[in-house]
Amino acid sequence: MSIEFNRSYKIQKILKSDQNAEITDRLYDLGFVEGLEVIVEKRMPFGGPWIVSSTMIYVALRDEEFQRLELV
Amino acid sequence: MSHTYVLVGQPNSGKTTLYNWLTGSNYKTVNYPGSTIEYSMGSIDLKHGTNKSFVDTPGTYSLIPKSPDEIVTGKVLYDNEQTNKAHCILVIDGVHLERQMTLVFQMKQASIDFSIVVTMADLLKEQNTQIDFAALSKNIGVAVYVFNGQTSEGIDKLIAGLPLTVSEKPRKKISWTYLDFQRARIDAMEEVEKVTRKGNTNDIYGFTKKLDSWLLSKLGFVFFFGIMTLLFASLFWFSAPFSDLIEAGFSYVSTQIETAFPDSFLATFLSQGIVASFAAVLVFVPQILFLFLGLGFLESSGYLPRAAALIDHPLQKMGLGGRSFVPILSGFACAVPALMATRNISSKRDRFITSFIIPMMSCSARLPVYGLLLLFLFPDNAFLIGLVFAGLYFLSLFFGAVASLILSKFVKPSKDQFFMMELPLYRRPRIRIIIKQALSKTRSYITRAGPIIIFFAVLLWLGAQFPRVNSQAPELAESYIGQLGQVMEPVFKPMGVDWRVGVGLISAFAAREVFVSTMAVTFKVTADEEHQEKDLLQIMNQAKFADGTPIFTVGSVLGLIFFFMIALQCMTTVATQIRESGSAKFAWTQLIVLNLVAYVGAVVINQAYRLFFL
Repeated sequence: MSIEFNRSYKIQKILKSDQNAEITDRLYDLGFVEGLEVIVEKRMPFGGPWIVSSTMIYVALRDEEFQRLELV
Repeated sequence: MSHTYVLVGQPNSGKTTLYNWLTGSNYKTVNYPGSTIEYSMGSIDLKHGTNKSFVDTPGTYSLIPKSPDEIVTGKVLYDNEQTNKAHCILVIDGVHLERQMTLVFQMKQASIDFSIVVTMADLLKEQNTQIDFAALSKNIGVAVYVFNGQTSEGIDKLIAGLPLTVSEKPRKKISWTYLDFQRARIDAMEEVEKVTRKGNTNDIYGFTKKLDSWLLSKLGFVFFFGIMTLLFASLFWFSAPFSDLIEAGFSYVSTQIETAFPDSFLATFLSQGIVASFAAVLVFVPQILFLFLGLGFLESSGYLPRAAALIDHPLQKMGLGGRSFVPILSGFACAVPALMATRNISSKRDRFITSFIIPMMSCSARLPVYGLLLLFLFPDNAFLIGLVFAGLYFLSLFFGAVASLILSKFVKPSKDQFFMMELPLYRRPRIRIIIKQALSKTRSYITRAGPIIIFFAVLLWLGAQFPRVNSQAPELAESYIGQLGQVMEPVFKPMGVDWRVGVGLISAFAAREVFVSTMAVTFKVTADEEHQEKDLLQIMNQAKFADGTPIFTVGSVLGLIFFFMIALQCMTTVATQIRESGSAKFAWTQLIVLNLVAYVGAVVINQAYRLFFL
């Protein structure tokens, strides 16, 4: 799915991975849960982190971290 | 009887601001007994009362720790006998109340006795949000206080309300599944909705997002390099006059002692051994203080986490991550605080690699050495020296990157690698707190690094003064240190230098900058400090081996520069590394590897120069 910036999305699912389980746990810590509305603000240059905001947090997520959020 | 309270909160919650208001300047860093952990503990500011102390813990997102910083908080809450029953003060950022409620639920589940302090009241007002704190307190069964970090409003009410008894209820360690988080989120949402009244909400992130659209764009890298260059350049602009003043002050004291008691060994020991060793420690204090002030300013304004996010991807290509950025940056002042700053790195692997390359960054102790050697290479060309100086900074980063790349091939990726950097609002930096924290960190540098540097400097000085000949100091060649240098000359010779430079290199293990003053001694420079460098350069130009070949050639000097760039000569760094990594084996391996690479590199550079240019 191609992501549009400055648009609101809903987190449908937070994907788990055995490779680095702590990423998912930390996403929970930061307030990311299924059903949360988030805005994808932008992506930093040269393949850098994504900036995601919600009522919970304004945060920079690495691509592999951002990809754990299944957005609709 | 004194009562202890523990401050807990998420990063950027305003916890440390509250701590600073509570303790004034009555705080110190305390070591957690029997481990590498340390935390800050302070007595209450006397204007707010007596018999209360507060412990500041590193920011934690949850009671289930995922980074070394969070482990410290866990130990304070559960293990440390002095604090594991203490009443906790949970600091919550009012703007993100819903998210921070998770920690409230976790604390309750863990049976921790606590009160809540809600910060960022000014932002809530700006946002046009009203929270009924009395209702919140009633609903969750915990005392809630409001605190304004800008004005300290609300602090007296908090202090008056703190309980004077401790809860004997045993604390439980908790573990949460996704369902627990989901349930907490629903509960938090309901709770916050019940107590919050929002008017026409203002977007307090408006200015921040606008600024970020510039600072985090492609142009952001230009800003990034601009800000970093300004930071480093200002270190030298601002600290140079203070360093000169300190040097002049110590030099004056030395001269006064020697004039007052001529021909007294004790006086010489005091002036050249003790006073000069103290000077070696304190002369870098201004630079370190200004670096902490600069970093504090960037952190307090909200830029530092963004710089880390911006540089995350390039650093990942070198086997590191954005969280390594601040420790590496601090390494340019001094490796000791830089190693302590690695606690914020969650990934064991990133922390290992970062700790390994930090001593390779061009710390301030190397600068006088580079100054002398570059003057030899480019006499009377201040402009070129300035450029090469800056180049050495970037070169040390380059060498660090190469080392990191090599290490990342050997160290398996760990499962705890994540970045996830919260970007706080841009805010006006709080100068008072920045100054206070910078002073505290500088004090910590002096007490940590000082004794070791002074010990080695005094030992080396004594080595040059004994064995006594007719109650006088021996010729350098006859002294213990001179004898050691001569024994080791076969080691130094391939680098293209003789035993006298070798003595300088050995003495640099007390503190790198001692190399310059030792060279002045071994090459018998008699001029006062102001002309010392000039005379030393002249002597260096004429110095020859027994067979008449010059000692200082472009090759040997380039080799020495390389040696100083890579070698780990600072015993304080080794001691800090042992404490921070918890592994003496790692610290000693690092010492051996870096010095070996430095030596081999210096030899190769010198021999290649001889082969191709002589």
